[in-house]
Amino acid sequence: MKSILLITWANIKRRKIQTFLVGICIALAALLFSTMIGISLGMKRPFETLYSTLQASHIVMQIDINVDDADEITSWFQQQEEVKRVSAPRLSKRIRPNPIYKNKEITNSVQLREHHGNAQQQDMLSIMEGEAKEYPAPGEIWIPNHWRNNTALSIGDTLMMPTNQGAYPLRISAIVVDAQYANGLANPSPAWVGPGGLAMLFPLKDISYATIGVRLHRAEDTETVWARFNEAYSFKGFSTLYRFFKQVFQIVYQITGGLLLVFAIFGIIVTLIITSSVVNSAIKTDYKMIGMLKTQGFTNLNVISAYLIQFFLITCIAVPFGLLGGYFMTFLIFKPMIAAIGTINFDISLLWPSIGTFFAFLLGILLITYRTASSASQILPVTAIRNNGPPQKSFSGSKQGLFSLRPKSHPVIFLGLRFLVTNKKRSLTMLVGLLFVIFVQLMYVNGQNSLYGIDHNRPAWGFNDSDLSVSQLTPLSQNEEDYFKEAMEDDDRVKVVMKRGFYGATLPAQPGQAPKTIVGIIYDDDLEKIGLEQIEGRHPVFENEISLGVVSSQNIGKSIGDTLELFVEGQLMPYSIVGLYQSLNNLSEGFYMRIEAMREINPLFQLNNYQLKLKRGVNSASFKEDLEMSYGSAFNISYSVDDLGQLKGILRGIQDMMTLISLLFICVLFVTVYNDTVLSIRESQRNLGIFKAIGMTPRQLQVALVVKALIIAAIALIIGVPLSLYILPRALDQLTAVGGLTKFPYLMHLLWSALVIPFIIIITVLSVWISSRRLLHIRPRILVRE
Amino acid sequence: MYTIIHQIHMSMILFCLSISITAQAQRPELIEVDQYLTDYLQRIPVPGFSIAIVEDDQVTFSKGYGVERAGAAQRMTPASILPIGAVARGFTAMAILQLVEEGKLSLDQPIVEYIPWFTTANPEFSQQITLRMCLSNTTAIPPQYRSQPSLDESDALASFLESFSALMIKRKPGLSHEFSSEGYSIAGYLISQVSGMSYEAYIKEKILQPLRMTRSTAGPTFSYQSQILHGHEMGLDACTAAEADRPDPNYAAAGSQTYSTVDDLSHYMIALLNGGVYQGQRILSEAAVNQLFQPNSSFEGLGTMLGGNGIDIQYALGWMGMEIEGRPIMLHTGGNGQVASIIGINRQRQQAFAMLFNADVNQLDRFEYPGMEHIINNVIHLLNGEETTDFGVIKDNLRIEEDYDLPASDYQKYLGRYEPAGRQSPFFRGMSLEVRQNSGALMELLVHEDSTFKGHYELDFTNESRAILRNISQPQQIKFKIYPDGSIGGLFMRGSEFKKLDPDESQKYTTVSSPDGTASFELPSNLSYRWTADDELVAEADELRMSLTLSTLSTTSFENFVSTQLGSQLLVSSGLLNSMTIKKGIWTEQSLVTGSPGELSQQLCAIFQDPTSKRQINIAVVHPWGDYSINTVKMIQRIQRSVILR
Repeated sequence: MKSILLITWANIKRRKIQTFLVGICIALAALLFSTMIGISLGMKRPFETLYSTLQASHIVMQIDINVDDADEITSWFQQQEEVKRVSAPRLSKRIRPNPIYKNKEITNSVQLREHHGNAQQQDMLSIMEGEAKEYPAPGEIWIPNHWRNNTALSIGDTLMMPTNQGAYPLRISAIVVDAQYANGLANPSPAWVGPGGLAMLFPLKDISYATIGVRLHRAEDTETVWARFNEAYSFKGFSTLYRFFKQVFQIVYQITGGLLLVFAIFGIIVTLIITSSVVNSAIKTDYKMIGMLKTQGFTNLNVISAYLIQFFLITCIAVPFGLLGGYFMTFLIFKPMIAAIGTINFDISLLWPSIGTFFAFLLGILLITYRTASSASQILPVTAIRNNGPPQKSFSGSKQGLFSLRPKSHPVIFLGLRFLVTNKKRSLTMLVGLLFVIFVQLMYVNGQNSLYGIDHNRPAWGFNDSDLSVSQLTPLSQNEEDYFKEAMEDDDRVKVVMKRGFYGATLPAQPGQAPKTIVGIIYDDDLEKIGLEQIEGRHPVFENEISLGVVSSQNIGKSIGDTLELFVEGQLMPYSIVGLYQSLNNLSEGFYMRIEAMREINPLFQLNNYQLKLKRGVNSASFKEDLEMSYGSAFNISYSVDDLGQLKGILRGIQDMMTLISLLFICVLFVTVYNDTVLSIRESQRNLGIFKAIGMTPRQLQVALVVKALIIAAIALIIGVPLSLYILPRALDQLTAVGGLTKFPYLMHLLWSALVIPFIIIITVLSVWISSRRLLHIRPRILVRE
Repeated sequence: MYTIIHQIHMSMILFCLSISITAQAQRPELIEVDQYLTDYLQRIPVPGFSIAIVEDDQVTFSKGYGVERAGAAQRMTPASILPIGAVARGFTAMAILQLVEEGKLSLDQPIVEYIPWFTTANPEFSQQITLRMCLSNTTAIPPQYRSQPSLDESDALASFLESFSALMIKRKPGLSHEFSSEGYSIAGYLISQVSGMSYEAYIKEKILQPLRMTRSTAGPTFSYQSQILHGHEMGLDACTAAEADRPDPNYAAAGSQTYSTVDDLSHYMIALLNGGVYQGQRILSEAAVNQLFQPNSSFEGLGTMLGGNGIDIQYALGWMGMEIEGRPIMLHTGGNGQVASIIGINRQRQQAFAMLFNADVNQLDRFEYPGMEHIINNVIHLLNGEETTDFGVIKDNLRIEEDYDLPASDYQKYLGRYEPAGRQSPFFRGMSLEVRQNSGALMELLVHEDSTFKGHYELDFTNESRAILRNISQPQQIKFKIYPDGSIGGLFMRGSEFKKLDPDESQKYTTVSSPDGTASFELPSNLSYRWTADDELVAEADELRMSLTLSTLSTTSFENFVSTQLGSQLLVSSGLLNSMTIKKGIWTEQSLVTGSPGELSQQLCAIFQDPTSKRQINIAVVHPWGDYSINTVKMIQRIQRSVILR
């Protein structure tokens, strides 16, 4: 056993770089895999734990107390066997304009709800900070934890609540988490006053909405119960279901986790290939030594064990590093979630998944090592010792004929070509490896360019290309003139001013399927003016037209030319689908519509956001400054690219992952070429000795190996670059389809793409150069072994 | 005695009037004007109007046309008293300039220097607002309408201004014109603060009295109160006499209750034409008068599509500068849905005119009837011996004619009463709608304020959910809200939403009448109640206790009522005091939390005051803190909808 360990240690010492590179590959793959596992576990558990701990409702209904019959609704649900509990209707009110803090409106749109205490055992609130009590006392308000991240609000601060009679002060007495709106991605965001708290602020005449929550025994029954309810009762209010809350909570992590899963699998496969290649290389290198060991009584199992222990050690060191990295990466990705819901319920234990990952990697690596190392059992000690390595392959007659011609130009090139054909299988493997690396590197540079270019290529991502986004903090009343729009239309610096707003419409229930709300964007002018694109068909123009997000189109099973029925403002309206668009905004779910279509149903419908596109040469920063000087805090003015803030955060994560993958494959390239060179030297050791004997310098031999690698690289680049550039956009289309982008906004960067070529060549040359240093040690005396 | 004095006064007016007309009749231009206006009355469905024309310092023509009240015989005269609406802005501006001349105010100092507490939610803007901006409609404060009605008007302006603290101004003050009365409310409040008199008293003492405007007032204390004409509502093909005055809803106190006659306004016009002097008495310097007419902001004029010239209108201080067919005219119009007014000055020719209409001609269908600009322009033409023109007459037929017929079988689902929902346009505050089928089987819509008729329209459906309201006023579109099951949920009309009352819902309520029969309202059928010997209704359900008492009207009773309710209980927190117009009365309510920790109670104190019946209802609902439910809210809302005091 000691001998095996000594051999193992000698192997590691002799191949430090190889060992290090393989270790890095294993660590990176483990990092990707464990991050994926961490996200997959992490995104579910906090939500489900939170939902369960706070006994959150699976169906949340917003009713007009003078339209829908709260008693009838409550009674119906109470009779359903799937229902665990139905909350009493709790009064709520949408606050317009937004509450004021230190003379500025807070950015969150607010629904003020009455909270009747956790004793109700339903829709409870978890107090993150502040005095623990049943509900806010008179004059107090509880705010959601995620507000704290967007504003500087803290316990003891006073929020001014706008009312008909002026601003009413409410003291923040607790910062809480609720299950449904925990991460603040859904609007409006609830804040809570005590029972009867709304009557302290608003005349009873103006309080007309209430929230009813239904908690089921099993979340899976939500859709069924809701569909049954809609068949039994003509519900006229608004509803939000468990699926939506869960989706909002998890969407970011679902995309990240999905991508990580793909890359992790990819990384694992590549790591296994590299491991196999390295083991193979090691066996070839140690051929003679293995033969000698066998003569000393080493069994095949002893030999295999030496490699198994070697890779066992590498894996034992590399995987924990990867797991540690994955742990930090997981928490980095979950940081916004932790910030929103606090750490109180974030109790994902990564211990067992880590142990599982560790053993899975270990098993995989050992299996591939065992399988590859088994070839060592074929080594015959006599042959190994006599040949001082694996049996030398001789050129076949015809090929020898080809290469027996004395090169007139340069012996180095001749040698390079000879190396190339000596082992065609391995050359082919290297070629394939290089093709793979070229693809990944081109994907990296062009993928990065596409992601970096989102600011300038927004329409392709489903965002408009305006320069500034201006939100009116106090919505216009019906008869109020829109001075801002008029002023912008008159401003010589403004090319386009277009108003937009968001609206949630409901798809009617189908048999066994509950109604579903989809969010659309309403515009007051031709969408083309602000660069929006339809990937099929055209923009909606008339009152009865709509364009659909591609994912909505797929989900609904309707496309251009079909009629889509939607509940808008309570009315079932038929719309003709005239276009399909894609957008990362809402993951291609939703619709575009013109304001005329909305006004057809609700003449009071107002849009309160302006998209401004400036004329060429106008400095958006100074224009924004001018607007702020003129309109101050009455409008919230931001750069339109800032709308992408959250998305860019997600994309940054993807970019980081791509960098990681790119680095992984640079390692792959290095290791592949390194191994190939080492094996080539080993296989051609005798010939190399001859070349040295006839006067060739080691440097010339090194160059010959470089020539060989360069020829393979050149072939790989000639085939791989155009092939990759052709496949890439299509592959990315498939990869991003899950995120709603059926046509990836691919932006090829010519220079970066071109730079991939010298980059590949440099890495290849470097790898050959480093690995072929051993040529310096080859002695011509090896020729005498026969 | 009063009757005799009144009769003598009226005889003197009529005597003077006859002299005036006789004298005027000798001038051919005035005869043409008279003939033109006589014809004009025939062309419009308005019962009557009055006009006064001033040239230099003389009233050269004044006359009433038609009758004061539809269906009555009393003729309109130059002495007929009518609300003058936004024409009163000129008085406010004049008063401010008087105070500027006295050195008590400055037009360009920020308001906060005079009212330090004045603020909006974004003080960096409200601190920039000046008096000039207030008077030229450039404060950027959007129309808020009056949110806190009260029977006690003494602090109405202050409370209105205080409510701006929750308001966000959307643009930098002083930049552009927006027709809003909030600036004039600020100006009115400043007048009272700087002069030490109420707005009404100041205008009376410093403007109306020096101008001998004896039949005019800027407030409710008016000796000719009973002679004020309320104007008319718009009917299907004629005007219907309005039963009560409709104060300008978007004009709090300062000028919102200004009434005058064309005779009185002619004195005002003489003073303005003569550099601020009337009958030798200077009420304003000539420089200040010029400043009144100096443009400060502008907005789009009457477009060519509507028969105008599209030239921008310049807004000065309470006056608008308009150019009609090359002639500059300073004018201002007013109207409140029941009456209309216009006053104009041609300073080049030293001519001025004032017209008061006892129906809101601004609201007449412009496709059928000429606008006020058309009439005024032609009166000026005739006065100067010129031919009349068609300025202000719509030349193109832009009417939308629909041939859709709503199936008669669908009528039923639209029929019923519709109550206001959410924030209401001031035009509909306290009003409800009724969709019905008339004797000719046509669908029509009626607007009611309690049991008082406020409007009558024929419903011309253009599709299942949209209809055009047609009567003598401008056609307007309404939208019905149709639910997925085909039922009608409500309708949208002129910026307001109305919910359709569910007839089944009324079965859940019982009408309760007071023992003396002076009050009735609805309570939930399952609520047990009893009347005590003191005419107090006591209802109890679970831990809720409601007491309802009837009494005579008292303007200061809310505070007393709350204090009585509180008794010796410890007040923990008091909610906002909210008041609103409910039907013809004012509803005031406040929520209070009382008691000690662990034993808190929530009380809703509400008073409904009805100035017509001089009665009020005091309501107190008490329940343990935390036991508040939608049933309490629904019960109060139901009482608000159903309460009737006699």
